[in-house]
Amino acid sequence: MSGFSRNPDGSVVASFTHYEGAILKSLAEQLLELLGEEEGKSSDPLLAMVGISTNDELPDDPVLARLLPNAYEDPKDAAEFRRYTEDSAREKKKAHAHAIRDGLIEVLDDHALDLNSPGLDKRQEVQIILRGELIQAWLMGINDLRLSLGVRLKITENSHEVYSKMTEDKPERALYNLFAWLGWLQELLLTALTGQAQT
Amino acid sequence: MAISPAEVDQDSALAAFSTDSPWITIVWDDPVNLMTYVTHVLMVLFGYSHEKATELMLKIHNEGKAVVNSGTREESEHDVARLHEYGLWATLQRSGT
Repeated sequence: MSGFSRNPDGSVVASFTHYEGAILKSLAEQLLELLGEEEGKSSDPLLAMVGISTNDELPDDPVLARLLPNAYEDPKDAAEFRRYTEDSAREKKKAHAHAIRDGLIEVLDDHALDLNSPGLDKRQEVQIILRGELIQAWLMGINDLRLSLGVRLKITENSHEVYSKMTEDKPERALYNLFAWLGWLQELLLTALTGQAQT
Repeated sequence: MAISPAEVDQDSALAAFSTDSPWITIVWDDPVNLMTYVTHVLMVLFGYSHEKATELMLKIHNEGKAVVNSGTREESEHDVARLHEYGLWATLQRSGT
């Protein structure tokens, strides 16, 4: 079954069908593209070398603004903090998305990486063993994907009622299904981490 | 915060924090992060027990925000950077402002 389970040695087994794996990989790549997009648009290469950005404003894109929020309510303090920390925060977000993407690429064969490939056996399962920091990276990466879709879908406390009434042919409904699936995956990973190790 | 089926403990209590420390770290409620996830993050980052982390999570959920830690400005900035890495919506400010 798809999802996550924990081994007695503390490692976590992630199981996906080829179809789910290809979707997750594609979502991670879209996030990587977004995180890379505005990088260095006005940065000084010398300052960038030591991790200082000349950018001190909240990103224009609402998803990036949610993923890289202000640390202070005071705009001056927020700008100053951002100058010294945004580059490293962005790199960490990228590392989480890379952990997911790279893990999936390792286990999916070539035609399974393309959702449109005629050779794709959607139901075939793959497994990835996650250990140590990789476990938290996946957890944070899945959360970043949820946050990204959540912003695009303008999720509020009562969104479930709104979206679950939409017909399946609406693109927003399809996106909401993905959002709900990621929430389900995250719950399974959290349960695997906090529950009893399976023997 | 999104309701998570695993959270059943509704015995919310206010967490008491020392007011000696000049800076505080605040986590704000948001409609996407799962309640179980927020609890997990507070346990991982601050070493809180499941009970204490759950109390704080419920305070965030019910009151819109909660102070999750206090310390020097540097310590609070570190807290906020780590909370942002986990995708929680956090800010720091001087205590008592």
